[in-house]
Amino acid sequence: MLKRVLCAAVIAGMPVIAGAQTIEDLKNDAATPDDVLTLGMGWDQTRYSPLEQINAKNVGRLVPVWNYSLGDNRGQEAQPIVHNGVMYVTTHDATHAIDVKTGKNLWVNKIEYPPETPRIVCCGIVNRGAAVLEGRLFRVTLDGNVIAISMETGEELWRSAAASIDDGYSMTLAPLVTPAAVITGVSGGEYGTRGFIDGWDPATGRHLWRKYVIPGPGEEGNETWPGDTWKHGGAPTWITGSYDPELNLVYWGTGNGGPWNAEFRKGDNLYITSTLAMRPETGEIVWHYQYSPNDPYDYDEVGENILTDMMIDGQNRKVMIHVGRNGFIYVLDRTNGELLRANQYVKHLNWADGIDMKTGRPIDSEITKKMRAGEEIVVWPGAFGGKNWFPASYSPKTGLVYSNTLEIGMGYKPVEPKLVKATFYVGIDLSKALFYVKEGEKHSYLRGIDPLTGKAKWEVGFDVANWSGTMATGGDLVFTGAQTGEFMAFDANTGDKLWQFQTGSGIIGQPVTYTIDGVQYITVASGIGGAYRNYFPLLGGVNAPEVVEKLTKVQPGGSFWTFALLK
Amino acid sequence: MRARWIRLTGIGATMLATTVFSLSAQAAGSAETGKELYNTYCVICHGPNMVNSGARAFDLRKFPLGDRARFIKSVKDGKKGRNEMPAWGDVLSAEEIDHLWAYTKTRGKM
Repeated sequence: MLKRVLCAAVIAGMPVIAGAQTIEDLKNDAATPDDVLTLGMGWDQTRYSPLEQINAKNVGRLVPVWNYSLGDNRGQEAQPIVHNGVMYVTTHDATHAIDVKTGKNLWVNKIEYPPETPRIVCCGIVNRGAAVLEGRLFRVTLDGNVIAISMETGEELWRSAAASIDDGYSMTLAPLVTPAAVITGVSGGEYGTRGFIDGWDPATGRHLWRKYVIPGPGEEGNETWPGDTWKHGGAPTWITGSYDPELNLVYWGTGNGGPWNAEFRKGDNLYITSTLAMRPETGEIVWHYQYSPNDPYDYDEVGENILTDMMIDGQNRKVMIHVGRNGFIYVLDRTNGELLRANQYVKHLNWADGIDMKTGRPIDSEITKKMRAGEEIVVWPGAFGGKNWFPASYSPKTGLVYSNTLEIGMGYKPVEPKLVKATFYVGIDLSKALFYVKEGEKHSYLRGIDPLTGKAKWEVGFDVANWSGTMATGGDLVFTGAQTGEFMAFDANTGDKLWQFQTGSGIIGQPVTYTIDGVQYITVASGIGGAYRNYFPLLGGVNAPEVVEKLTKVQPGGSFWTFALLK
Repeated sequence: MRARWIRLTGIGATMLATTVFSLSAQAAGSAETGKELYNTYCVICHGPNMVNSGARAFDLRKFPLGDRARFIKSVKDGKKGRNEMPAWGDVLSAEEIDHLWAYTKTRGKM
């Protein structure tokens, strides 16, 4: 058997690199804090590290160790990968390898894409990170390719086309490596696309499978789309799923329906705004849960699905926590998709009167009924959602979910959509789509949320909305960044701000922590960009000129910062 | 000597007239059509009625109105650098870009 495996490895051309990261290493990522091998610091995407060398008592002594310039003015949303003392980071047009001890460049791999590409990328020219396996680094390109790069030399090993910008697709996510396949999804839900998820052979880039997440004619679920609407129905798959190796299920989220105006696609529109539990060998959907059937509000539910076990009603359950863009936080049984909890976590929400726990469906509010009849409304949360792409973390130590959350409403007037290639296919009057914030309140709040009730144990408000991921640690700390540049540490139990450092640009990245030779480090990207910076000044400026001023004063310029305790 | 000067002036005037004529012919785009095209292709970055803070995209209300050539080149080929912009030459015809130029000259006030 061993011989056969070795033969297969040789035939597939796998490099034999000492200490190469194996599937077993990826599986143990969360338990091995001396490296960061997966997006979310573990397949379960808790973004929790047990490290406690840096803790609530000594975090005041945290200082920068080095700063690495990316030579790039686009938004920096990538999570770094750390292995064997080398950090691998991505931007929209390059991959960099950095010596973690010195902060010096080891190699850089540049990517070209056509100058037409950004016109079909709505929400920031970004890349969200890489995946690794056995000496290969996998990433996507903005114009729709999946590529593998040698982690040792930075050379491109293979390149496979997944999608075409001519059809409105782009790619920004970090791939997911499972034992069966490297898995990727697509962006483009605003451009008349039809979402899908692909499986690739890690050694060769051979295409293994494709699952369209909007079923075609003859497939179950296609009847939830009138006529040909399924062809351009959206459901983009633009954020990385999580993976449970014991159940062998991948939990992947899907985005908004297209066009946003849902009267032009009457029906539930499977599988928009859903979590899909899939087999990594084939893409087969084992179960699904749809958060907002026939969603008109751009409530993509692509965000992280956090896997953990917890006591619910006296029973230890294998659960999946999802902080919904639609303003509700969900707890599902991840073995079968059973809805266990669904509670509002934002303060302002008017699109639904709650979730029917028997059917799992939201109850349309009077406001939503009016809008469906064609009236102009102000919906809360607006299209940014109660939370956007930026990942939350979960600490098993405190039992809290730490998430940047949004309290921003939006004007919404449905109009007839116009399908024009490479343009916004939304069907709302954009001149009426202004953002609103309640008088005397903040745009966003970092919240420590009880996943079973939706209630915040603590919250901290921010004038300019936070657009960064969070990370929780065993040192009772929560780290996150502000778009005005501050990288911050909060007490995980109280929300007290314990430390901050002003970086050179705005933070919209994903912090990580790891040890090198027994010393704990923390790394985050700085570099403003992303959807809020694109659209808030454009569509909300009149309502909050002072916030726009603060935001537009922040200068672009991507770099990575690494911190450690002052010796 | 004087007659020659007059003749040369005459040629100069004809040339000038031709230049003025061709300039106005080139700039004969319709601002109304331009606004429709703008609302299809440009609004999502440059903002409704061209109102934006300049953080995401160039504030078109500040575009130098004497520089039509630069406008056409930027739309056709896109721009690199701080005010990066995608290329539109494969989607928009020369005539359509003229309509957009006509609308740009209104500074969004129509």
